[in-house]
Amino acid sequence: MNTFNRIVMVLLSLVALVFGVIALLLVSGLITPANVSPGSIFLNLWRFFAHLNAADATIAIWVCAIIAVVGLVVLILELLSGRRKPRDFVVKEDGLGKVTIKQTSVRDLVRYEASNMPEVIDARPVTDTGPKGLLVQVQAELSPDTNAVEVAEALQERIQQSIQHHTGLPTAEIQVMTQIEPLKHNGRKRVH
Amino acid sequence: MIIPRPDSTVRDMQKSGVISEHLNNIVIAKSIAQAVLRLPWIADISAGSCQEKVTYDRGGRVSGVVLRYTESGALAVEVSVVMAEKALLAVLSPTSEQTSDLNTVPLLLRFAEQLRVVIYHTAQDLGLSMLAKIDVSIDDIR
Repeated sequence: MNTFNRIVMVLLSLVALVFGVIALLLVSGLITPANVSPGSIFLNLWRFFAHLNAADATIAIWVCAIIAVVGLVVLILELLSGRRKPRDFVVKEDGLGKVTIKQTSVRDLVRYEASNMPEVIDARPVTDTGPKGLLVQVQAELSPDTNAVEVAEALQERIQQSIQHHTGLPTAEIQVMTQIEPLKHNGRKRVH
Repeated sequence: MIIPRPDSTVRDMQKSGVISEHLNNIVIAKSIAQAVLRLPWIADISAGSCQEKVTYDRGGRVSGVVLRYTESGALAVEVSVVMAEKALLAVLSPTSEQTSDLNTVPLLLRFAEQLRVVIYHTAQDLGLSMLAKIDVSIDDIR
């Protein structure tokens, strides 16, 4: 969502939240229309809510509560959206344009390299980006008769070289966690 | 890697009268999409996941290609592609000649540059002399 759309959504969600809360307070009698009408702005609207009969007030409470909650949820989501992990890694950006690659493709590359090692039965990579470059975590299921330390070091080296050779992305950290137990996930598993 | 120049696609369209003086965005986007799909290591054009990438104009829509015009009137193109796993694996395999290539440019950047060249040639053939930038997004490997 681009910046303009995001600003519009934030404003709309704020309006919904404020409207819902004010209407709730008016219907419940906690405030009067004059309290929320500086300069008599929207005075007639607030009077409508303040003078509802019992049956209509119950419906109004539910509707206003839903509007306020929806406004609050949308507001939180919009404000937190900037902190989401990027889905794309920027491989290169120059005057000619930008080249990006999806995180999932980088994970596929790491998984491919891991699967090419005969000692690795299965691998589950997780990627993220840090201030100094790519962060890669690989959980690898190994054959029981392998030296886990040597395999982990070899896998680290292999992944680092592969990412550098194929994408040019700087790698800040590559963590390899090895285990003998099968990895529990729905991914593809290499069968010997 | 030999880059196929999309002559046949664009000039066929010119001869048949599809491309006229009044190019619209659909024609441009379609030409670019067809040229990109002719590359052997491109499996598909991707419409994007969370944000759909599409060109709209009279005559329909083209997914995976986004056209924007800068203030100076130059065209900026954004293309989202899905790479063909087989073609990529052929390059990645230990016996591939290209893995022993002394070229230090990362593989995906080489692919992206070739993609840009194809798009640039397509734009030139359509008579679009001002191309601001070309963004390439690799959405998947299939």
